Amino acid sequence: MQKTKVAVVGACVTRDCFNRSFVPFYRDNFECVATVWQSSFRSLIAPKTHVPDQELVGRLNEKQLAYLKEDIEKEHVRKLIALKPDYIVLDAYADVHYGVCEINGVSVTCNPNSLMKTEFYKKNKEKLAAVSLLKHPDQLSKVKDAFLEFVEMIERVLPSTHIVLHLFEFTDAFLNSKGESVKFEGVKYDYIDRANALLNGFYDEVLKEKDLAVVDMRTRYYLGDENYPFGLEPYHFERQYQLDFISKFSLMCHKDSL
Amino acid sequence: MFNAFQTAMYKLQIVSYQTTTVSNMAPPVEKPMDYSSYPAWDKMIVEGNLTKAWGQRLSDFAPDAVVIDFVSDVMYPSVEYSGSLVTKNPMLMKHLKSSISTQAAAHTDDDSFVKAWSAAAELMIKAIREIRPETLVVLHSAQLLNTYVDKEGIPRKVRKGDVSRSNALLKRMNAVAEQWVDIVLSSDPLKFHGYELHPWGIGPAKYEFKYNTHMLGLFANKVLESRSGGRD
Repeated sequence: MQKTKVAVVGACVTRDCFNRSFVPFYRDNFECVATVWQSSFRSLIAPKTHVPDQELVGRLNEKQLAYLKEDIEKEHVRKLIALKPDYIVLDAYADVHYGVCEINGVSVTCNPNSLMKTEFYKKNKEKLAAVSLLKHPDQLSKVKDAFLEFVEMIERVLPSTHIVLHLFEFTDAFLNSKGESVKFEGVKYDYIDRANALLNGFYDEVLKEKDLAVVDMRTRYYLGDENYPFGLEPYHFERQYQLDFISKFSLMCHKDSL
Repeated sequence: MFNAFQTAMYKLQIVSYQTTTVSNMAPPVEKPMDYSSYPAWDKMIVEGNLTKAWGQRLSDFAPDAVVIDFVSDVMYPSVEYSGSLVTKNPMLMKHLKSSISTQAAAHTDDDSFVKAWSAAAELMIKAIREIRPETLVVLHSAQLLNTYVDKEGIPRKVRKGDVSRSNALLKRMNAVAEQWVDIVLSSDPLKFHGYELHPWGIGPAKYEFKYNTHMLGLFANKVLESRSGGRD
């Protein structure tokens, strides 16, 4: 049986649903052909720019550097289109959490896992302030416009590709190793309620203007997982999340194929 | 129903129920209606709101500990009625609907609400200490529920109402009140859910049963600790 080709434009909340550690059987039906990793939609629709390699040194691993260069040079969108996925699953994590900064007048994701680790960022820190939804909720319409522009571009160049928006929220508690539900507490997690209000505002605005397929994961309450392989965070969910996502997504693909 | 074994160790009297602090600390209403024929439960809540009977009830019952929470303050508005303030809670709406249903909340924005509550709460705790100097004042630092477990055991989110705003207010209020009381009971850092099969259904303060057991256990421990002069 031919596998359904999926691309992820988002962060771990979506990408981990297409990971055998979380959903051991996902490859029976799906092949994840491309990942546009933690790039904000404002960066995705911006023109390409360039930062010399010698300035992008820092405490980044090879993967982080590759994703960063793609985000700066906008290579990821070209690769994504070339691979012609059957489905592209999008999430708004990077726009809410990271936002963008301007390099040579071009929007680039202000990603703490890549750009912010470079010598380039350290040298130009004052000029590279991040504009994220969390810090600047008034930017909602710009993020929405960027998102819709990206979707419309994909619809133009890949008319047979299905575009799916992953509707997620951050969770406010996690499962500890004793099996107890424990709240995310402290200043670090003060953003959760605000971020959820922003995400829901974004979903409402976007879906008002565009008839998009969605995988809505907000109908059930999921906890974070203290033993999550990539660390404890309000968007690193218990295993049930990824299983339920794949289940909902599979159902959608099945209906589309009828 | 929730703590059958453990509650047998305590004698309980409800001094004030589903009534806001600003309403409790307002003067008695000028012309109280005749509530003498109401069922006992209805009468207790209506009378408390109209005559501000909580102080007298506290004095008569003479408890070893009085447990306060401020959930009603964020769930129900205080409204003007007959020269005073009463709580627009379900019981008052049942009996005084025509007089209070159109009344707007006395305090609308968060800051003026917290300011009015804070002044009333400080006065109330001072009054408790004057009425019952030997009574332990215990704050149940409660939070409203934003999740519940449905009848199939699946956790769900509560989508109705603005629980996060009310919870932010409660957090702010509890942090202020903590300094005025002897004991604070908080479920933190644990998280509890509501329960669809709760006898009174899903509600922002209708906790799963293990919450009741957990909190009563905390109460027993903290009261014992306080009685024995604290931890070594």
